[in-house]
Amino acid sequence: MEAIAKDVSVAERRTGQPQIDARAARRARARLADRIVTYTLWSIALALTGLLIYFIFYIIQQGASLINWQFVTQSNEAGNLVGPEVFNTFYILILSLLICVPLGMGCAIYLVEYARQGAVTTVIRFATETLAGVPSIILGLFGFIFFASSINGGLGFGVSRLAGALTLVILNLPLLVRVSEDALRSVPDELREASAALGANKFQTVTRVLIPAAIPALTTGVILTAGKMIGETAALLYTTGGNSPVTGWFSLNPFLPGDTLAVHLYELRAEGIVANAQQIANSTATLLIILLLVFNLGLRYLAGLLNRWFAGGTSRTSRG
Amino acid sequence: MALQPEIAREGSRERAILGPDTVNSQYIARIDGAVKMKTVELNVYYGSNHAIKNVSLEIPEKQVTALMGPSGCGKSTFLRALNRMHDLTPGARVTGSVLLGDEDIYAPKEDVVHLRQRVGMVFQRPNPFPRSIFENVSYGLRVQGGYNASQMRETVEQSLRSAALWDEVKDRLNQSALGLSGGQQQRLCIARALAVSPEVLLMDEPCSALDPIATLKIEELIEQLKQQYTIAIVTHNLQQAARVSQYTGFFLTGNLIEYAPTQQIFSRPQDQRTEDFITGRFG
Repeated sequence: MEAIAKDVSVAERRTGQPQIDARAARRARARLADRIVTYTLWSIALALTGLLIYFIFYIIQQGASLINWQFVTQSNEAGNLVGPEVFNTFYILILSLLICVPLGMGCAIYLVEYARQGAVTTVIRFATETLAGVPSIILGLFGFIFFASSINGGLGFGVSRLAGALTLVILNLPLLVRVSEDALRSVPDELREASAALGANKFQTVTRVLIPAAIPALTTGVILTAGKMIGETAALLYTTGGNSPVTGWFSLNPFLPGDTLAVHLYELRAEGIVANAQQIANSTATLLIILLLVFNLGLRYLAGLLNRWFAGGTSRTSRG
Repeated sequence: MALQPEIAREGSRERAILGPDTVNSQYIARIDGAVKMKTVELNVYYGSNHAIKNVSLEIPEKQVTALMGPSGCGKSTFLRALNRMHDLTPGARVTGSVLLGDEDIYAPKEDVVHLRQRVGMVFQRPNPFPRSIFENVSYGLRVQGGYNASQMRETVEQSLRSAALWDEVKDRLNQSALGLSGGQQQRLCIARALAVSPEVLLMDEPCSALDPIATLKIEELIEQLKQQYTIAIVTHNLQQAARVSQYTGFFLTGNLIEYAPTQQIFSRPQDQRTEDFITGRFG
């Protein structure tokens, strides 16, 4: 205030204009700056949304021609139907989520609620963050050597859906741990105190208060992880096998090989030998995008239900 | 610093006397009548910060004890030592003892979970769980286990009635507790604490986040609850201390400066600092 007044009086002396004009000009300049910033931010948001919409429409338009029920649900030897890949995509996704979610949340619960903050937790956090930075193709090679191969101390699961799922677990564990940690930390300490003051032990506090309160944020973490898993290619190239078995592809045996939609897409593009490989690749991409969208929306809906169930009737709506 | 000879002088039988048996010859705040809880040379440290200094004080049974003092004087820290909430705070250390009846709650064999069922707590900001009203009140019973559905319903109703909230929420027990107003939420937190039938209820500035009408309701509630429960309430509101309590302790920089029947402390404070605080000269 003082500074302005001083400026104004200086301006007044210099220009001989009445003081009120200088103030009005100042206000007008501030208003203009505010508008420019608002419009800039607004256009950035619009551009991003537009890009996404354009991207989705482009992919759908390129691949829509082949997509029908048969393309999605059946398998044929020529490889221009993708039933097995659709099945494998979800099979591997669910298998790795089943392993990844308990591990990741367990790790996060330990780090946030149980571990004494100190050297050990710092090392664990550093390790997970470093793991998050390892390129997925390298983890894929590691997965091949450690899970698929049986030489040099490998576990010898073979090139299989199990080996692929485990590789995805390693790839996505850091993200899930990080997001779950943040989710638990976002629960106010007051709830921990309230629970303890009512005679709950730590385990009861975690399972009855913290996890339900963190559900929206935890779900966001699982959705992010699942999205990455559905689209992951490099980590699976060497671990799940290039081709799905044509007969019995809906088998639940984890030791069978089987490629996902994303791997299938890569292979069609890189080494497809059927006549319409490019067209199948386009349609596969379209299908992948659609499944991803449907899966995300479905998971969010489920999370909303879960949150309402925990929170009681007229709850806050899900933040997820 | 902690030694207060002038307030331990002759003729003030009800007020503090010097403890002859303690090395530091501490100020021991005694009361007339039945003692429910008692601290003996209680010290609380946060790391190197000595937050509570050798406080020995007796809390009367089925009465309201108010702890007052300026911000940062340690009154909340003291209260939280009474049901071992400091166990949750990394770096906090407690020495001395706290007796509930004649049992030392800091004894190694003491079961903290059971202790916290006997000594309930209501916090400064209403902190209902983000779940239904029913789930909130029945939480303490659920974590104990061994109650069937009808016992649970009965206890929930009783507790909500005791907290003067039943009529307002009886038709929406299954709705989220977060939909209640601040005052209702705080009464819900009281109901939640009452549901496990505690012997002592600790209240840490329970009205500081509430408007005057909600505050009045909580104060009326405290008046009723003291017939059944021993209550210790931290407040920085002098009028509140005067209205609701029978005994009042004044804390300053971690020391218990004065402890006496409320009427006496407000009409005839013995320590200059207490008088300064009451007359609004600081704090």
